[in-house]
Parts: sequence; structure tokens; C-alpha cells
Amino acid sequence: MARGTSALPSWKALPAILLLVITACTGGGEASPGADGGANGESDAPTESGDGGGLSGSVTVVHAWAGAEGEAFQSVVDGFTEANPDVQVELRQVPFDDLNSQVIQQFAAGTPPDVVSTLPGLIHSLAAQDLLMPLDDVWDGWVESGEYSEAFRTIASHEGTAYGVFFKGNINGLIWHRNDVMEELAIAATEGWDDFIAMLDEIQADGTYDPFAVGAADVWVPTQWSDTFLAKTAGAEVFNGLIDGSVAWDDPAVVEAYTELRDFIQGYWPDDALDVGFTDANCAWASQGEAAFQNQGAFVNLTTPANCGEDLDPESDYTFFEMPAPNDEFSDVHFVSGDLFSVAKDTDNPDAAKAFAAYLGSADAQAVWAELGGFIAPNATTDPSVYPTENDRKAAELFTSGTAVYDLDDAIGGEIQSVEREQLAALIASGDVDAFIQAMVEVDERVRGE
Amino acid sequence: MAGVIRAVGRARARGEGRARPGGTIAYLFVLPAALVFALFYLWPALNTVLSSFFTWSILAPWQLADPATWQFAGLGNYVEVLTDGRFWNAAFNTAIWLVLFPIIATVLSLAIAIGIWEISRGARALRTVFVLPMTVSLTAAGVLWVLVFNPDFGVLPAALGVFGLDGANIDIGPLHLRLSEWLSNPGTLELGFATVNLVNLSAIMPAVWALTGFGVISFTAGLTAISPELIEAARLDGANRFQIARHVVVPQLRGAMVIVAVVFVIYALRTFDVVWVTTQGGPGTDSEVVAILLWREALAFFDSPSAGQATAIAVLLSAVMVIGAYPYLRSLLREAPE
Repeated sequence: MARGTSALPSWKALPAILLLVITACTGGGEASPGADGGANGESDAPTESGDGGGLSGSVTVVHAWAGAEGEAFQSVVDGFTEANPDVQVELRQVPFDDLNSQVIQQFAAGTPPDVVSTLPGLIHSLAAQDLLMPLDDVWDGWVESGEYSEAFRTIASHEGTAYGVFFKGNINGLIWHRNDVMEELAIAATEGWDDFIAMLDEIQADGTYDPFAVGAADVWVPTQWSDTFLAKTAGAEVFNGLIDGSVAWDDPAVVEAYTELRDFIQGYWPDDALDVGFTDANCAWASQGEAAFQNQGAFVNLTTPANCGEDLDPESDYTFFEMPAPNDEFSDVHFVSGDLFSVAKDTDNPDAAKAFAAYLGSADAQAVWAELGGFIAPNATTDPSVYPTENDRKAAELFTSGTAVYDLDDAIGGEIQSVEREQLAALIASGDVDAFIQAMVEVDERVRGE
Repeated sequence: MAGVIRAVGRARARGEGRARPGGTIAYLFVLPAALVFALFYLWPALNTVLSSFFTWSILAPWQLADPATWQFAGLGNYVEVLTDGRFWNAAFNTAIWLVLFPIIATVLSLAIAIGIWEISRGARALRTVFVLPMTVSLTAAGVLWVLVFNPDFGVLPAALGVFGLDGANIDIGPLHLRLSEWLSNPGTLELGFATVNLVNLSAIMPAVWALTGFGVISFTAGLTAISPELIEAARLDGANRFQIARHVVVPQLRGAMVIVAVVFVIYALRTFDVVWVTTQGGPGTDSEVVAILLWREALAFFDSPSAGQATAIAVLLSAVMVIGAYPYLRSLLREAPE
């Protein structure tokens, strides 16, 4: 809302609010889902970078990376514009937490960006309204050449048609630790759950460090924990069943996983986790000596020096081990995530937009960021030697090992994602697992039907 | 000048100078403003009301001109909203705002305005200090207070820490206050019939800080209009400072008070920005207000056909606001020339 609107006379405030509501809720009547803008994914756009291809014009790209990650993405984009000098790529960064709602508003208003960072849940919602350009022809080549597996294509698809390209992979559930702190506490990386708990008890008893730094004020952080616990307590079948709706939220295996998570939070999280954001928690662990561990994804390898001090050296100063599984049976289940990009069906520049999306899925583009660190290239032909640190190489190996499950709330999207995020915060504050499960059952029934 | 005023008064008494009812010229003068009002205020309002009777989502919008988008729900959206526990939770949190924010902000701004009015030196500088936060957007004010509350480097925990109070638990009857976790779990107030989550107070504080200046300005304007003879007469009658403030000053500020209170009530009813940047309505839905629920139904729950419920909430909220603004509207109409 605008600054100082409270100073308006009330009779003016009312219609102003209604105007705001109507703009937000109807998109000014300009929304045109399904309208054929002439860019129906049937273009003959060149899909490889480097040929110039006669592409021109501008391409607007919405993404969510800021800081060091934003700079890394700019480097990737520079690779495209160098190969296609007549194309201007305009980057628009929005906060990750607001990405879904902002993108939805832009599509609903009929003014979407040409290329947009998406997650599988968002792809389903937009593709269901026929708002995205099909990218099957791009995927056919990739699958044929072994750059991607069919599993990746499925994640980027809606009802059998691919609408997204993978750009950035990530593996989560990594217990990041400082080498000097491990030495000081005389502890070492562990693989078994009981040993892990014993180690945390030891750290707590010592009292020098909190066991974990957690920045749960950012809504995506608690999902990093819940997905890890779900994957490693209930297993891939239950995890994927929650995504496709075949497993209910009150399934005993699900309840057990969230109970395990609740007990862990109450045992080892700092009390003020909900008042601290990711960056502050990152530095509380990395540079301020407040916590022994941080449970985060592989991207932390890049963000830590940028956020907390350039003198921090990945590998020699800090590294990670994978969180052990509460249930041994599921110790090889890894919780992965990834950033995709989609092309708006009604883009004014379909050839350049599609070429840009194809470039992002290529090994060439992904190698640019991979060389900078904190990045896992989902394209299988990316040269492993480009990873700058052992941390990055270890993360990339884990990404392709064992059984991978894809980020639960990102895969579902929409109302269920929104409610899961807010209910996780409530679970952290209250410890009430029953209330969490009940809220999730209710929203699942509301969205998917009973 | 006095002659002119007398002449105008005589002309008014004779009924001269008034627009003749039905005069075409008068209507033409009003027409541009009426068109703007109809197009940008009335039509969106009407569209909102109409859309609340249909089932639609932000990605599959209802459009008046396209019957193919009409999925008539009748009063279904209203029934859905009014039987939803989440709506009543948001309504309760909004009610907390409605009670606490206008009272705190009005009392505080009145006290500050009178305090500054009483002093003779530095009044202007002090007034500027209190009015200055008004120049900050409420979103920025919220972000600023998130830093104030930050457990690692915030001013509030640091100040409390000086007195050994950071993290202290205070239990006084139904009040369970934790002097920590300001944006997630600062405690509760048990009312018997309901529990007030004090995290709402953490979201209210930045709004009070930012908007008190408006009250200070309004009350200062009212104070300058009070006749010094009135104060002097009260003083001669033996009234002390408090009695003068209570029995002379405050009654004279009734008009300003109505305006300030109504503006604050309206803000409390539609508050969104400051809650969003401080708590996002959380943890869970502990500080979710109606405007945030409305936003979520329309935009965050974009895969659900719940935008009709969002507009139903908007209509209900508007109705309550009109009722809340009634005293102010009535005073405006009373003052309007016939």
C-alpha cells in the first residue's frame, strides 16, 4: 500500500482499496489465457548458443537470484549476449519468496516476461491455462544426446508436454561445518543417525556453540528441513506420493516424519530461529562462531564468502557431510531441487526467448556458473572438471547418486505450497504436529478434492 | 476584507450565488470529475461486487464481457468465507489491530501534541522529530523494525539486555510475555474466550511509530485553534494542568479526535504492508489479518478457484470500513455547503 494513505479522507480510501482489489483480482480484464499470440512454440528458433542465428530484439527475464548468485547469473547471461550481440537481455530480479505471486500477476495481467524462472508447481499452474510455450523439440534433442534423462523431462512437464528447461541443480540436506570448529570440538563427520544425535548432544553439553544456526524467518528454510526429514524418514515412495496426491498427509509414515522433525527442532534448534533470516543464520554459523552446523543446500558454498567474508575459503575453511537418515532404510534417498526456466507463450520475441531458454539448459551455459561454485549442472555433459572446489564436486556427485526426490513444496506449488510454508512456521512455534497434519489434510482436500 | 465578508454573508442570506438546481453548466463542471470517479472508483467497485458472485481464479479470471468465464456461485463465496475458521482468525487479528492501534496511536499522539504545546522552547524541533517517521513508507518502517527486533543485533534486545531483561518471561495474570522472539512468539494474553497472540503487537508497533506523526499534526492544528482566554479562565478558576487538559483542551479537540480516530480505524482495518514485511501473517496464521488473507486467496492460492472468495472478503471489509467511517462521513456532510 502507498505511503501515508491512512491520511486520506476515509471516503477516498474506500474506493482506492476497491480499485486495488479489482486490479489485483481481475487483472483489469486484460488477462488473456489461451490467447494465441503467434508464438505457440512452433518457431524454428535456433536452440544452440554461439551461432548468432540472426536473433535480435529484447528478451525480459525474471529470476530470483541476488548478491553473488545474481552476479553469477549475469555472467551466464553475458555468454548468451556475446554469442547473440543483437539480443538485449533485460534481467528483472524478484525476491524468491515473492516469485510465484509476482509471476502469476504478470501472466494474469497479460504482460508476462518473455522468460521466467519457474518451479514444477508453477509450471503446472501456468501450463494448465495454456500460458507457456511447449519446449518438447528442445528436450527431444537433449534426451537423445544424453544430456538429460527422461526423469528430468518429466519434472519439467505438464501432462506429457515439456514447458521448462533445467538450469541449476541443487542438493539439500547437507550439514555444513567449519573445519576449525570440528577440530576444536574434537568431532568428525558421521553417517549414522545415532552417532549424529550423540554428536549434537555433545555440542550442546559443551555449550560453546549452538548445534545449528537456522534462518527460518525466510519461508523456504524450514522446507529444507522438512523435506530432508520426510525423504530420510518416510522414503521416496511416500515423498512422491504426497506430491502426486496418492499419499495422504495423515499417513502414519508422514506423521512419523514430522514428529521426528518436531522433536529435532525442540532439541537442537535455537529458540529464535523464526526471528532470523537465512543470511544472518548463514553468517552466525560461518563467521560469527555462534553455531557448529548449518543444514543447507550446496549453493551455500558460493553464498557464504559473499555474505559473511571474502576471506572464507570453501573446502579449507568449511565443508559438509550429508545429513544421516533417521530411518536407515532410506539413507540413499537424497532431497534435490532445481531452478527451471519457461517461456511465455505470448512472448513478443519467441525465437530469441526460446533460444535463450535452450541456452540456459545447455552445458555451455551451466559451465559458466559451475566454474564460479555453488552450482550443480543438471546437464549431464557438463565437464566435471569445471567445478572449482572439492565441495562442489562432492555435491555434484551426490546429486546424481542414490534415489533423488524433488523439493516437495516447489513440486506441488499453489495453495498447498503456501499453506505448508505457513504451517511449518506454526509447527516450529508451537510444536503441534497434529495441528500441522490437520491443516495439510484440509488444504489437500480443498485443492485436490476429497 | 471585513466588508467583503459581510457582503457575501448578505448575499447568502438572500440566496444569491447558489447554483440553480438543475443548471446545465453546473452539471458540465461536475462531469469530468464524475467520469473519473465512475471509471476509476465506481466501476472497479461494482466489478468487485459482481465478481464475488462467481467462481474464478487469478489465472482463469471472471470477465463481465465474456459469459464463457461465468461460473455462478451465488452467495457461495460469502458462505465459504463466513464459515471458514481462517477468515475468523484473520478477523480476530484485525479486531486486535482495530482496538489496539487507534487507541495507542491516538493517545500517544494526543499526549505528544499536548506535551509539545505546553513547552515554550524547542517545540518546533520536537514536533519535527515526531512527525518525521511519517515520511517513511510503512513498508520501510516495517523493515526497520525487523532490524530493531533482530535477536542478534537489534536495538530492542540490546536495550533489554542492559537491564538483564532480554529473554525474560513475565507472567502477570492472563498476560504471558516473553521479552524475546518478538516476530514469532513474544507471548499471549488470555482473554478467556480467546487468546491474543502478542506477535500482533510487534506488527502494530512500527505502524504506531510511523503514523503517530499524523495524529500529532492534527492535534497540534486543533490546539492552536483553542482560545487562550479559555485556558486563562480555567487557570483563574484554580484548575491545575491536568484538569485544564482533561476538561478544557481535550473537549476542544473532539473534532480532531474523530478525524484521527477514523483514519486510524480505517488503516487498522485494511492494514497489509507493515504486517507483511514484519511477520508475513505468521507464524502460521497468528498475525494474519483480513487484507493478507484476501491477498493470499487471490494470489498465493493461485491454483485454487478462490479469487471469488477474495473479492467476497473485499466486499465484506469495505462494508465494515464504510460503517467505521460513518462518523467522519457524517461530519463531512454536515460541514458541506448546501
